[in-house]
Amino acid sequence: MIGEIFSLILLNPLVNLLVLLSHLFGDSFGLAIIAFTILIRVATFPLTLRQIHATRSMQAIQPRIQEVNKKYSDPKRRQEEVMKLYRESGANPLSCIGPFFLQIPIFMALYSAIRIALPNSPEALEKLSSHIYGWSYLQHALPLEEHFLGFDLRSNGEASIAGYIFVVLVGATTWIQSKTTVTTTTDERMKQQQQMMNIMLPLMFAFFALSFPLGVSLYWVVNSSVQIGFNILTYGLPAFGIEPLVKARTAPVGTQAALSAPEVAVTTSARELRTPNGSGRSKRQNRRRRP
Amino acid sequence: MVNFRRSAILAMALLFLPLLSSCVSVLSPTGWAPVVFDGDTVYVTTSNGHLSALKLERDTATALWTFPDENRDEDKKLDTKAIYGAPVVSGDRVYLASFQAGVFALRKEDGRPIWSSSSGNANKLDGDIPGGVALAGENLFFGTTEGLVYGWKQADGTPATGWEKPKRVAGGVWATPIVSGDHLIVATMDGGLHALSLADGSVRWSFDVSGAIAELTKISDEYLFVPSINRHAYIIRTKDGSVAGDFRAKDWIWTGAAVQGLKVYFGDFGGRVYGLDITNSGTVPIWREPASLSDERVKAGAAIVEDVVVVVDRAPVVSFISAKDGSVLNSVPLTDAGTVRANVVTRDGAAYIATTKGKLFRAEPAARKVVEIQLSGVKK
Repeated sequence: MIGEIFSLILLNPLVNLLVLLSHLFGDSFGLAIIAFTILIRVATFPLTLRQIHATRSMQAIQPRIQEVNKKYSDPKRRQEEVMKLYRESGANPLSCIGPFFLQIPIFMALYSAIRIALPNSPEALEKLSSHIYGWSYLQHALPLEEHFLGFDLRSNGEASIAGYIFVVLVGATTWIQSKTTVTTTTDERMKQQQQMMNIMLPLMFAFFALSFPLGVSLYWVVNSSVQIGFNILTYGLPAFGIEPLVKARTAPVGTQAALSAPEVAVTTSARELRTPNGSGRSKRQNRRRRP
Repeated sequence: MVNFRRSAILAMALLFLPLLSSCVSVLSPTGWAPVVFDGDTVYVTTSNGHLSALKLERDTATALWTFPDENRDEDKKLDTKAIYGAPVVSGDRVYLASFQAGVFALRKEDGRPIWSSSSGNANKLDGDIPGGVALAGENLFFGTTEGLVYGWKQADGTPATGWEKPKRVAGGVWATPIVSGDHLIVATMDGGLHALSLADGSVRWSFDVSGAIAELTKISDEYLFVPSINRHAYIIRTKDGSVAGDFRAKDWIWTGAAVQGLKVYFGDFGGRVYGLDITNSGTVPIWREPASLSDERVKAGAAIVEDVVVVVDRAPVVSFISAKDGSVLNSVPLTDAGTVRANVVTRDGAAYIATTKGKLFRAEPAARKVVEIQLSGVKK
């Protein structure tokens, strides 16, 4: 049942789109994957932009979150204050991972679509007939050309030397992608954790790529490369003196204050910053709540 | 923190990928070779790329030998994977093309290889073999998925004279080549149909369609039935490759045809069965409407016995169809049989059906019934 819904909503349209693109690009399935990846990235660009702004907002309020963490030992109160900070600054931690949530089903469908669209047996080609729409333009495109730049897009990463090239590319682009992404935390322990993940994740993805069809790895490499481009546009490349091209959106009051006066942020809570003499709890009241 | 979180989510998703992809199964090669008769011996293939010779009695068949034989050390290295083309019996030999282990000449008596090493001869080939072999004179011919056509001597499996190097055609060769006069007719998945000289492989004529051709049937010395997944069935003249008829079906056509004189019967992937009369050139439908088989695709080639067409769909259901008016006379489902992709074969007024589970059925058009033949001693 789940498989049927997955096929109907995501898999079949994707298989047909890939076949269509392949036919449009001179029967090159490799070019179809590249075009598909770019299409998806362009279509989800508004989300990506929101993610970039959200990441920046998160980055901007990190010193203040640190301060809140230091200031309140009661976890509940600390959480309340952090949430308050998020509200006031307009930052939303979930908005940073939205595009990634979108990417997961696409990636899963693509994984299946490539295995279906590039059949490795006569039986698989026979079964492909049940996924292809009845348009003659698509029917005439089959079977697809499985080779691209000399690589067999059906084969796994571990099947050939060419496959290992893709495994390395997957690891390398994932690593560069993580290196060009700005770290939002100021917590030393978290920073260390992130540094470890920056090494572990590329290795892990390279390991997965050993068992992926090269077509999926090609998608991964192109997708990561596009993301690296976005990252450079957004964060610049300080090591090479490249400034970000996408400027930060005007931040809400709290965030702007945090950006312009970090010293203030270090010593004041969110509500105190907004209304220093407002109705928020005082330090004394807070102390009373401590166990 | 956020980077860490999203990376972790993605990593988790990747871990679950195999689980999700299991919802969308991708098929491994299993093969669909039709049964072949030689006297009272029937050759049946199983889904694991094994060929068994069985002595056929009325409703039972006992295995004489199986190749590769799992009890023999020298056969354990062989990974044939699947067999798609019908084995060819000639003299005291059986010629067999396997999907991944190459081509074999087997002794008819005991099923042992006469030539090809214990690991097969796939290392001499570029690509897999999704079809069978065609014999002509002292040679045999076959094509591969990489678009190469090989001509070997039947005697020892070495390249035939004039075929020292395989001939390359554009697109993979999946259909078993057909010998017609002094031509070898080869179809490709790029939609090409080429007549090659048996003497040296030179191209005599070519015909191109826009869809893949994965099957060929010889109607007569004069005509070929050429189905394509572009939904067309072409009737091609063997002498020059010209089109004698072009019929458009409603779905993919990837099946052999049942032939009765100059009438052909075949199914499509939408579960329809067509009858065409090519007597006066062109393709004239015999029935007002195609016979319908509950939308189940038809991959197995039909057979005709007297005036009854026997068709098996994917379900699998055996349908007996009147050749005169296309009415369905009876339908018999096959239980616990897997599916049927192998062409149906006629013999002595019955039609024989091999299933993907290695079972064998006999359809009796006169009685409109189907009987399972109990196989014993088959090594799968």
